[in-house]
Amino acid sequence: MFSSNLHRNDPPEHSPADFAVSAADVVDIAGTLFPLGLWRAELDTGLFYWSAETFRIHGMEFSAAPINLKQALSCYHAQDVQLMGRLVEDAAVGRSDFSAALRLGDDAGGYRQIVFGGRYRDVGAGELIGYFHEVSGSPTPK
Amino acid sequence: MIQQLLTRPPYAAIATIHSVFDAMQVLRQTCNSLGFRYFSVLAVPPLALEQSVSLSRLAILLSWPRELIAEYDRLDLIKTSPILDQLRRQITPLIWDLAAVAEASRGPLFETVRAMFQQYGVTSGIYCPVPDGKGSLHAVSFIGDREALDADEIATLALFSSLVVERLASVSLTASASTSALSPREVEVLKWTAEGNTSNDIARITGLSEHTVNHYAALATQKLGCTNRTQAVVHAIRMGLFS
Repeated sequence: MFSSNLHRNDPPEHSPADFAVSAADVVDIAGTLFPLGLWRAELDTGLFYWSAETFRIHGMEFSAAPINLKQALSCYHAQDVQLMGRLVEDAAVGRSDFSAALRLGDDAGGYRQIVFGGRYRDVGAGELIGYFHEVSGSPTPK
Repeated sequence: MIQQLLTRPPYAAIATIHSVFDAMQVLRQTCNSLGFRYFSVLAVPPLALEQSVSLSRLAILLSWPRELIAEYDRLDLIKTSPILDQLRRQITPLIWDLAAVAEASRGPLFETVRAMFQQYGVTSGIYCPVPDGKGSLHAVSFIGDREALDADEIATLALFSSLVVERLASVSLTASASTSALSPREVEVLKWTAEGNTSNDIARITGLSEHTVNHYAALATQKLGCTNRTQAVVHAIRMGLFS
């Protein structure tokens, strides 16, 4: 039911199943604490998909279609594009998970700090899934 | 004699490196077999550092835990690293041990750095400088908390490091050559994919069949040394293939 990472420190007798709360419920609850954008990549097609919150974080209109990855990455600091790319490539090959703090350009010419993470999922021909989360606080310096 | 030497571990595995991913595997195996915890291959920057230099930016390969990398960069340790400074001055392997740093040599962040590394089981390591003969300097490092290396191990790691950096340079050149060897159609198919188009969309746009589109995508993926289309698209964007 729960993500295995969420309750890995719980003692065995405190089974998440006792709470009768699903993983979907957990995501909903987490979403009330902080906005969490989700993303998914299909390894065999090379196509990336964003949730509505991810579009909002990036200041873009929602679309259910695959995203324009070139356009999406152009919103980030050039150095962080390289870092994001390397993390995604390594995960796509090594089936690993990752996270990083990145600089997303804002309208004022500065940057907002975004936490970006992901992991491999063994679905179909293989997928990467992950999240974007905007770190609240003062804008990040250039 | 040397050729015979290169067929033995740990050198023999270097010949199996055909990609950055292969290099990670070989370095991980060598790291584990020698009792180290983490490894890195760095491009050592010249003395005049850009303000935005960081470990994550200098690293060509890096197996440190991401939390350790983040903390290292948060403290901006690259800019004041005595190890990098020493690597610019010597061509022999540099052995370091946190316990052996003299009191007088400890900077204001020493205790913070020691605690940070100890949290990840790192108390010592070796950095092997590898100049490339063209003015650039790289370094291969292994860090952990194993006992002190003996002379044979140091010599082995020095040669191993040179061979790894040489092999990585060869792989990079091959990758560059492969990128330039992509046909216009292969580049076009990857570009349309990067813009969020399915194979069906690309077929409609280009007038090709979906089967042909997938064929071009597969060829491009292979030529770029990638494992799947996602990696190929991201790799192409990183390499500026669509600029």
